[in-house]
Amino acid sequence: MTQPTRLDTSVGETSRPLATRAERLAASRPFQWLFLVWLLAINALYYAQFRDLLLARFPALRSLWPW
Amino acid sequence: MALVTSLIPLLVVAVLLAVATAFGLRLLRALDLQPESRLEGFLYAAALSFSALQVAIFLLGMTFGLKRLFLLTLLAAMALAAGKDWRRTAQTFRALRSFVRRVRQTRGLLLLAAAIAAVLLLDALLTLAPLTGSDALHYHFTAPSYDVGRRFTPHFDLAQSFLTGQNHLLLLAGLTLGNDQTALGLIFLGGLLAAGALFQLARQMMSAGWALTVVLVFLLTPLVFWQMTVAGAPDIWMAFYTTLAVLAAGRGAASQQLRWLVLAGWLAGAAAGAKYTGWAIPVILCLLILYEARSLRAALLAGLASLAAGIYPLLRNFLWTGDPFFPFLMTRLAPASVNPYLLESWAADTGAATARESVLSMLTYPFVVVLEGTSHGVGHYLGPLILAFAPLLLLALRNTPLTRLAALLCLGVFLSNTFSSQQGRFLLPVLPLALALVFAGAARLRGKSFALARSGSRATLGFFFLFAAGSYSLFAKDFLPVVLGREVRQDFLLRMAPDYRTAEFVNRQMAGRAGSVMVFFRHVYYLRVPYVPADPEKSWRMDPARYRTPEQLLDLLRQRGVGWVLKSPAYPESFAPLFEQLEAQGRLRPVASGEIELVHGWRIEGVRQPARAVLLEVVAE
Repeated sequence: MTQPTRLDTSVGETSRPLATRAERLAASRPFQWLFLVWLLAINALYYAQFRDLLLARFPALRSLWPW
Repeated sequence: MALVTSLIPLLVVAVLLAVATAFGLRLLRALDLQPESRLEGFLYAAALSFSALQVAIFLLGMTFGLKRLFLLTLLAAMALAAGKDWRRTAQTFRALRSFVRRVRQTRGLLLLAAAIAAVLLLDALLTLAPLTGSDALHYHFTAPSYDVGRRFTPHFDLAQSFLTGQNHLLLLAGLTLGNDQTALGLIFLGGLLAAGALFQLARQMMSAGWALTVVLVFLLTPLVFWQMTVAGAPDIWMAFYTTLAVLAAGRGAASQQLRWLVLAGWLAGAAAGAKYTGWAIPVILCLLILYEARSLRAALLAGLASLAAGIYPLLRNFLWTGDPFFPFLMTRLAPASVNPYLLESWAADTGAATARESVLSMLTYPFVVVLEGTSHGVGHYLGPLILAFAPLLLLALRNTPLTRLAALLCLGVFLSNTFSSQQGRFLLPVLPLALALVFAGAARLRGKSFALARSGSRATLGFFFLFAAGSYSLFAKDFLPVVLGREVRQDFLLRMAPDYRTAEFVNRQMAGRAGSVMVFFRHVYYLRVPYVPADPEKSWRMDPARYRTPEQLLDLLRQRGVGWVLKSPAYPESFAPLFEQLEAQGRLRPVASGEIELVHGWRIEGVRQPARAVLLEVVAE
């Protein structure tokens, strides 16, 4: 069994042609656009839940908050 | 000078790590387990030693009691047994230095390594702050503190003490050898080792740069920096043992060497020994070993190793109560002695009562655990990246034993969490596995064809780093002044430790008074006088159904040697009528009162309210 030496600083695998069906799907434009929309939604929903905590810590931001 | 003196606990932890490494390397050699790199050897050595130390402390505590002399003798024996492996220990630490030297040659890696070092330094400093974590002041530190220098005995007044596991024995070791900061330092060490194990796992799936990135993400995840520093809960050790168990199982499955699979079982058992929910880890791992190795014998031996490593808290609870999972099986095993009031309260606390059982709630749980974290056991502290990068698993999942083991163990633990508590914080043991898997996907977004997805994922990562660095800075701001000697310990505790004002009031008022004081507040760690915790939601003895008249309650006070009762600011609802009747009858007489402060909800939200505490004397007839 060959495994990388864990204390070395090599960069691992090098770029290679898209091989598997999963990789071809992931490289398709529709998938990547969907992925971007997904990232946007998750980020927005995730960070929104810290709103109350942030405003409690920095009440001055309350007047600047858009909603 | 004060700061230098305060670093002593970290020095003690460093010495413990050195002894554990040397002894662990000796164990690895004796078991013919040959690591493939210095880092791997170091991690397995530390894991073997600390897990074995936990077992030894348990056996000592149950028989003779854990005295400082016994513990020092045990550590000295480990150091002596290491013999020539001390030289290999020195070589291991030198190899780490040469790794740092090589990292310095590449700018990107240097930046990442510097950021990791900065976060670890801040983590280490924060462990030097006085203990203020809520659960720690309630039971994580309180229960072990009862056992310092004594033989282990059940603490029915502090029912959560039955939930303490083997990782708590490291806290006990820290308290026995030093102080709170030594114990906190040992928790930090668990996080440091977990980060090392994550790096080791990540290097099997991605380049050094990405592996360092995922380690930085792990360390900056709010749940991790909170648990590694001031929370005072030792669960982060579960993440270390679990990650290493997967690595050992992967090695065993690929090489078909039974001893690696047994080691995986032992490490999974060490993780399980931390808390009841942890038993999902060895159960799932042994099933995976059965599948990967196609060997019932290997799976059984791994299972036996799990039991040998982690069954002790269950045995202890069984010996003391007849229920290994006390108190959750008491309704079946000993229905006559059940305290239904406490059970109901605990079910709510652990999420068992509130976990939604509809199909829809289970399907939405993977999302809401992170996106509505406050309702799911602070799941938002896990950070957004696992969910955000989940689609990239398409690229990450390879048909190799290691990837299969990591992915299926993650999935199994997640499902067990979904069907039981639906509490995000209980997912900490598999956080490194989940991060390694999704980042393996992110690391494969190379070349022109992935440009769009790569930009999005890098922006998400960059935003997370900004958020995490900001959060950690704000978080650390509250603790650094006392660590750096710019704030007096007492002022810090009054500002940060919940119920500290109440504990101080009791300590002051009870000085010179004989008898114990009955208290109902949660954070009892700083009480320095004899006391009886009596919150019916936390004391197995205080079953409201058993006390229906003031006389019965008075009998209880006499039996427990209670001469004083603290009302702060009110009695627990279920007992209030009885105590108020005793007051009306003149059998409880106020002798002192003072200002206290109540913290509502999480202290990070900063909602505090002044209140009045009254100390009452139990009047002898």
